[in-house]
Amino acid sequence: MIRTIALSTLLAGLPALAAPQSAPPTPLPASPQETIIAVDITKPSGARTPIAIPPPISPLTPELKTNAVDPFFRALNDDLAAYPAFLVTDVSLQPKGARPPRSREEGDAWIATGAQFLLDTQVRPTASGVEVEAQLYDLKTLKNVFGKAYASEAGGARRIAHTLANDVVRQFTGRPGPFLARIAFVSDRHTPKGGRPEKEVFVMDWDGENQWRLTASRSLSLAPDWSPDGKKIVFQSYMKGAPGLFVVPTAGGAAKEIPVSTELNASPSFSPDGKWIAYCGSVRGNPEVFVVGVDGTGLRRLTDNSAVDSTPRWAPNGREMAFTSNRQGSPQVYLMDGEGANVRRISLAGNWNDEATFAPDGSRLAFACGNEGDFQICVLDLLSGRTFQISAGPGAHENPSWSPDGSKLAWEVTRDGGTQIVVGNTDGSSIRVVTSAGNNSSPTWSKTLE
Amino acid sequence: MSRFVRTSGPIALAAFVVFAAACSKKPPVQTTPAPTPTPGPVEAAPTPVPVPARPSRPPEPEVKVTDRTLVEISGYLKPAFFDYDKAEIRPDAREALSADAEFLRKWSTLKVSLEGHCDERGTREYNMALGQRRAASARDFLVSLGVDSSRLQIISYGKERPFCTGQTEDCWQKNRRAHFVVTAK
Repeated sequence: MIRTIALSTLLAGLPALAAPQSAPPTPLPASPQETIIAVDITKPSGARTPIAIPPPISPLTPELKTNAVDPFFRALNDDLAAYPAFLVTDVSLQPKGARPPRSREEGDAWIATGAQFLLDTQVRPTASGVEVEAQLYDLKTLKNVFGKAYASEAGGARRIAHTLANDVVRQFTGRPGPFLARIAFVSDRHTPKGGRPEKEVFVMDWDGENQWRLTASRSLSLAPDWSPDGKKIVFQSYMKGAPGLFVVPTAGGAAKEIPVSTELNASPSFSPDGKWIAYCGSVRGNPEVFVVGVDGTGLRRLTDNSAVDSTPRWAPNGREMAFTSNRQGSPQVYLMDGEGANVRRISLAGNWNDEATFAPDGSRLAFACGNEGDFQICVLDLLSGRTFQISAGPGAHENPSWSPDGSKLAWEVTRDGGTQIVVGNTDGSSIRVVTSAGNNSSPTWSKTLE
Repeated sequence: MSRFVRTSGPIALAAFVVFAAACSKKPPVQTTPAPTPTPGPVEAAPTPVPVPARPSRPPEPEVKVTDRTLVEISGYLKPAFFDYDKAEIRPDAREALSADAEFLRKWSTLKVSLEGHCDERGTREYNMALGQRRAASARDFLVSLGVDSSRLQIISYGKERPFCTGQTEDCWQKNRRAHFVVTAK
């Protein structure tokens, strides 16, 4: 399912910057209750913590291998290898018989492979499913950093892997990784042959597995955004002809329309308290930013300008909003406060910037940065005012969305007439294509970690 | 039969309009009873019976002929095309929309939806708003030429439903448009 884009491909056709630059440091707060191994996850990739993840020890039954061991091991590797804090070492070099390492010599044999930590796992069948025992060792001290057992029913091997990967990340950074968060997106894969494009909202795991359809609009359903608690998704849909705002439970069920008097009703964004929807509405053909209660009450307009004002996205503090306006002649990203005052432009380069979205800690904005029809993903550090381009290569890159831990971005890439979703780290490393069926766009991460 | 069913909308419409015009002015119903000759008394001298005035012929219903050459009607409403990242009406769009306005004035029962479309070389979200602007620009231009705004709906499809999927300027230009869809005849 996952394909890694070769670095040479990424660097080809990169006009302005020699290489993807790392984002500025944003230290993550450490939880005081836990023993934290301090790792700066924003260090250059050369300083990643090397960790050995040998294949699990398990009974040699083909069924267990196919249903549990292989999916578990693949997901665990994909999670940790793609996380900016780690370098997963080459396990073909692993020393024989040193699991777990019990002596200095055995520890050194692992260190000689380039590893500093060893994640040793065992997979066993249980009466109702599967159990995984995981032990994390510091190879310098031979100390068992943590040991945990994970049990699930049959079919839960990948979810165990994501839970374990989150725990390993928490051990190093104080906060879980993004591996149990999910991504909502839009796909045209169910368009009838020869018919007009139909787009529906789907949900998948972060790595592109476990995809399922959430809407059955048989029309266009676009621009999904998660409620902060992860229980609902708001989206724009043409299911009743003219586009409207709809909310659907993420557990499945019927979509419900939010009644509004505006037209267009595009780009909805949930407020951080989950009570309001900001969106792009139109009155007499002039698109403006509006806010409405999730129940359709309290409609108010935040912008009042004859230019296009679109694409509102709330800041995590709920007091500010990013949006796009062409009031100075081309689409650019602006900030305003929650009542529409104090408007200031913040994208300065290029002639088409849009789809700005705040990092979960509010320190950065990711957006589609365009010039002469070439679109890439840029990250603006709001403190320093510096902008970094994190995508590269051919195709149009747009619609970035932050993982809830702030370590990753998902976005869409249109290349050779097809659109697919990629996920990469915020420094531009470990970019993978995670979709393949039909065209897939508008990825949006859920906002909760677990 | 199948030929009849497949008759294009405007042709069927034209047929209906002529029929309706013919029906709306029925010849007035003659209510005066026709004079019936009454036999006079036999013995009476024949007196000249005044010849009853010949009733005047009821006026023929007037047939009004308007030129609605059918070959012009099908697909007549021409889209307005736009420049990249623009919603302003260009000279060629002005020409197309002026002809569209004339057509809409002529066919005064038609209602249309104006769809705003964008090419793929722009972001998905902003294009959705830009498509609305393009549709609104075309609508406002038609209204300025006397078309009743209640007959014109607007809807944006952004870059979600392109007419052309190649990566050429020719194709992109086709996708930057305000496009007519007839919603009521």
